[in-house]
Amino acid sequence: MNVAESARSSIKNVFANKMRAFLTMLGIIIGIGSVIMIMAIGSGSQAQMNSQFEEMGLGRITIMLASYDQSITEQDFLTAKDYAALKENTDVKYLSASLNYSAEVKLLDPKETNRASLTGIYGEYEEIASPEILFGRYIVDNDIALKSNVCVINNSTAVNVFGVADDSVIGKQIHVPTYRGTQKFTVVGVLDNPNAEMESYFSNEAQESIFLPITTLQNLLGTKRFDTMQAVVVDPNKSTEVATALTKRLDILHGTEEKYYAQNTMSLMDQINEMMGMITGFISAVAGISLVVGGIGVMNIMLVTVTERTREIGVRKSIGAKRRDIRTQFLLEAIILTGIGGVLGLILGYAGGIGIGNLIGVTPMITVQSILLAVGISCGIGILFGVYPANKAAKLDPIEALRYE
Amino acid sequence: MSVIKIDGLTKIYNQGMIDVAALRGVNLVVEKNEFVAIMGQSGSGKSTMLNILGCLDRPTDGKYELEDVDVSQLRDDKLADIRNRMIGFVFQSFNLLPKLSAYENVELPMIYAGVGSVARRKSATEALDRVGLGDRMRHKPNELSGGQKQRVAIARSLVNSPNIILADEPTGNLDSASGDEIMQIFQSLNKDGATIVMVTHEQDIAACTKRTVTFRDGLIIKDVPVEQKLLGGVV
Ligand SMILES: Nc1ncnc2c1ncn2[C@@H]1O[C@H](COP(=O)(O)OP(=O)(O)OP(=O)(O)O)[C@@H](O)[C@H]1O
Ligand SMILES: [Mg+2]
Repeated sequence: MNVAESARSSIKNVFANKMRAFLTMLGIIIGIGSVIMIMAIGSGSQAQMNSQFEEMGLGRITIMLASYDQSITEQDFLTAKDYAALKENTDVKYLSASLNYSAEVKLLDPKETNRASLTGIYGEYEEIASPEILFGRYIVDNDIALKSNVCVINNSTAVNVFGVADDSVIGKQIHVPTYRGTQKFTVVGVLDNPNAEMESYFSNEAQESIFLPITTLQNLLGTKRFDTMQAVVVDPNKSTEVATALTKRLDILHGTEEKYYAQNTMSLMDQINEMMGMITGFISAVAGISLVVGGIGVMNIMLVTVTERTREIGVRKSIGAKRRDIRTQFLLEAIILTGIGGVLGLILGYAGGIGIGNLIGVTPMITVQSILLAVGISCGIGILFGVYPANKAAKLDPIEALRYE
Repeated sequence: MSVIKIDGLTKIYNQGMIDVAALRGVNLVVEKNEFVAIMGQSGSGKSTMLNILGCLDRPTDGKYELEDVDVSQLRDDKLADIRNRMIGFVFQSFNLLPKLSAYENVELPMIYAGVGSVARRKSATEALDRVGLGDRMRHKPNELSGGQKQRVAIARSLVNSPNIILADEPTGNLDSASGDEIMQIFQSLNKDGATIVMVTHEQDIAACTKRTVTFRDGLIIKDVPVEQKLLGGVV
């Protein structure tokens, strides 16, 4: 008896009792449905996060000292020399460095101040952070060379300091009291900072952001060092290799070993993806336990079916069915039951994913792998839990099966 | 070459503490194209014997040769193959599959034999025509009379051209008119060369065969040729 013949008769038998078939499938439908739903939501939010990463810019590398313990000496700090050296690397598209200094800035009412973070940068920082310039211009190479007292501020800072955020603030000065007296910086540009509100929500003190030419800030602080360096690589897929090349280059320049650490968005994204995958996998596995329950239900019904159809098995054997024929028939029935259950579960799970996705703002994503996995697992359950009943049927003695009442 | 040759056939059923000897050393030879009726009282071992001849059951002891091949101790699947190709079995209670049509029931042995669908269609149609049910092919068993069901069962037993047809009280559940129809078919098949062994309780039915073998207590006590009464319509 070939498989097509067996499949035909098995389908007929499964659908002979639709209610029973449906109830048996239910366990599989629920199990596969919940796994698919979780996976669809999981990969949906993963895709969403990845696209956010891509918006932020893939292939961005941040270089810093690996640690700040006693082993760090003055020579280890990153300086303009390193900047020049890394700039030679042709895999690097944009390079900047930054130096941070926490200070205060005088507000509209000169008696009041707000905490401000001064960030010294190179002009190429514009390409790395890609802010939107609302008015004026960004820091340029000339500012670096001249160590000019110019600055670029956030629109929220402009409101706090000048009362407005329009092009009238360009050319005005902001006053930053420091240990070396009050510094005055001429505003040359205003940036859009859509996250300002959220940032102030998360940090208890209002932070004003002020960007200066890095040389200006170094001069002010009497230092030659940078805190970190930032790079954008030409080919984001090579970020990890380029990051390694850059830290190696720094180690050579400074005569050190693995003193520098490079973090890149690509590997950060990989890490988050891995973690998301693990979480999704774990929840799916828990949901998958219901599949075992479903499988046991299938086995139970198959055993009942075999008993009910003992006489049929006897008749089939009496006219020449081999053990294999009987086993195939019942195994196929189990697989058809769980397979159809799996497909229904797939549909239900996806529908559920759309429903829940709507509530939490995630577009569920169903991948070819998850479809194959669902169908494969449900058929696998059919085999796993169908083998025992099918073997039981196959082993029946023909004459005893025929005598069965 | 005999179709069936049994020698010292014994069957003992274990029933808990007691053993029941259903067959106690039966010897029988059936030649090609014979038509044998097996008779005897209830419980004398007729069905037991026929089931062993049909390879549905195994003897406890003794030898059974079918077409000169010893089949008494073959493995399950080999026996299934013999049942499929060499034996056509007709039961008292028809044993048709209720969900399948007459045609599908007749087709089934050929499916297990691996016959292609075109050849199956031809043979099944021929067999159903032969038993006069060419116009009832799509009917389910519960849409057929007892006699018609038994004729479907006979058609099913014929499709793989078996070496022997075995029938255990094929007319036992039928009225005498339907019984005669069945016997007409058997006589006609026998005329065309079929070898038939059937169990019956009825003298009238046995009279339609060519030889009567009588059992008592698991042994053959009588084995005589019969003056065959040919039924009308047999050609
Ligand atoms: N499966 C079984 N287990 C135990 N004993 C059995 C079994 N089948 C038959 N027997 C016994 O074997 C003996 C022969 O039974 P068998 O069915 O062959 O008789 P029979 O000649 O066909 O009778 P009948 O004319 O009533 O059909 C009987 O005593 C019966 O009780
Ligand atoms: Mg009997």
